[in-house]
Amino acid sequence: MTGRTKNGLVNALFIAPYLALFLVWVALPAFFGVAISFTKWNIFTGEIGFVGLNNYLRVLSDDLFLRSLLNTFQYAALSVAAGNAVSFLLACGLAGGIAGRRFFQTIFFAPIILSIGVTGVIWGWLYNTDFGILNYWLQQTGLPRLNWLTNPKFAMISIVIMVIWAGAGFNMMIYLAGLLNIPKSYYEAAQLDGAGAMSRMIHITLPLMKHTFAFTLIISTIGAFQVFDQPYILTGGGPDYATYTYVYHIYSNGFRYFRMGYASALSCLLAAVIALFSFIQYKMLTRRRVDY
Amino acid sequence: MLIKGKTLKNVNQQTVIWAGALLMLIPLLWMISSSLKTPQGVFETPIRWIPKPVYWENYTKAFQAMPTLLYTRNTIIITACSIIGYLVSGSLVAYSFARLRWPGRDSLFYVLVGTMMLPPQVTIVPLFVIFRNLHWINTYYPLVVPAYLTGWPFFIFLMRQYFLTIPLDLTDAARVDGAGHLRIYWSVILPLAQPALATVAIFAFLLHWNDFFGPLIYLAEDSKFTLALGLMSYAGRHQSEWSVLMAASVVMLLPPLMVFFFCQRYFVEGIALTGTKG
Repeated sequence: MTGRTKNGLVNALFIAPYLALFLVWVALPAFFGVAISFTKWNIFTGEIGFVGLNNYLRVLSDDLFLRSLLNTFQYAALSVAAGNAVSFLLACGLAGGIAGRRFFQTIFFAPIILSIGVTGVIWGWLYNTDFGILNYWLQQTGLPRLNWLTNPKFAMISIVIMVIWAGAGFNMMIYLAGLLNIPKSYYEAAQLDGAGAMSRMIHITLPLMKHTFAFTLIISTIGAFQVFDQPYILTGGGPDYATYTYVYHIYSNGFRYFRMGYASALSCLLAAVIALFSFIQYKMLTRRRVDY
Repeated sequence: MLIKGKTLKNVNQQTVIWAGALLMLIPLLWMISSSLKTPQGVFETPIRWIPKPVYWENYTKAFQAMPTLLYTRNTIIITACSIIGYLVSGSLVAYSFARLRWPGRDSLFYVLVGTMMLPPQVTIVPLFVIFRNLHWINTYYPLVVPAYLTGWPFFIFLMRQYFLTIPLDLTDAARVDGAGHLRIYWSVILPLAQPALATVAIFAFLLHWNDFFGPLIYLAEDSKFTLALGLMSYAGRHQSEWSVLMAASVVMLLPPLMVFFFCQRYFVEGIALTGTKG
């Protein structure tokens, strides 16, 4: 009996940090956040009042809400599609037994370790309109200079290019691990049957990598919806709100104007959007079963 | 025919890889090159890749113009305290999920996986309010304390997955010899799980060394800034001093670069563990 009580105490010791985390860091703030979203609360003046669903209705008349949501969708579509394409292409290049794989792997992965502060400073300099090296090269080849970060049409694309440069190595490693797990004999058998490179890709590689794709696409989409640091540092959300993302809108409302209620309502909506997208992606990517 | 197809494929592959490597390296080489130019030299055309004269003063300026050493110290404090927190609390919880039997364990594990998906932005406003009421604004507590409560469920997940690969025979043998759970955790599991602990330590290092949003919200005083925040605030005030900014960037990326080169194996294994078992 005493042995069992002691065991129970030891068990409790092991799980206590997680329960504390869950209650204090996740459950409590989540409930508190939902509660705040039904109030109008200025944290500095201390004014607080229950406003019901007003914060949620307010998004309908908030132009910047729609703008930031659309910008975020644009960013997510561009960065997830192009980013994963680059990662997969690099992984395919590395998987085929190239000389010096470790060396290239290191180079592609290295930008991951850079702080967004450093990445932002470097790319701010590359993108500089008057003295940046990108515009210098454009001029050398006889093309007009681009206002990479100050033209509303290019600013988001410029940010996506920087993000792919900085982050492609991460998914590349996941794809590479997946590609190296596919037994070589599958390819050899297919080759004997006369399957070309393209049909081997479509009929062997892609189906077998389905779960890896599901994982990377869902994770990168979740990440993309939360983009904030990059536009905050490179463009400050501009020009003309072209790179003003959804989390930027949460940040402005919560930490610049101290509208805690409205910022919380925006956060809750973001959680709902992310949950919905993850669910749809998961269903779509794992819809058809393939057994080998 | 086959041989021809193969060489063609190899040539394509080589081209992709070399082009990719070049594109990855250009920004970094350009940063190093610019960091060694005179303040006027960075604006010179035609562009020189190898600066003439080589102007090392940018590096001394990077330390004089902003309190780089102080920022480094601050960043090290936050990062080191957090890493210890993740390792201690995370490994305890992971052990409990991997080796202990208790009611509700599996459902709680699903909750854990679910919270991995929860975007941190959802709880920033309520957490900010809570920390403000604790008078923790402009202190390091909001950045460090969560680590001791396993603030990053992903780390528990990673360690649990690794603990599960440790053969049960080993822990059973220890139990026959009379070892309790604490003893098994400390003397059997932890020594064997060193690769997993290293992976968590490295991820935690990167997470905190490079964190921007946390310090931006919680730190107000310049003397408490981290490197990432300090560099940005300096860049905001001195936008045309590109050579000094580049030198400061080089200084800032050296520590993570060293960690990366010496611990690359753990990175790779950790990511592989995430992707294939996730």
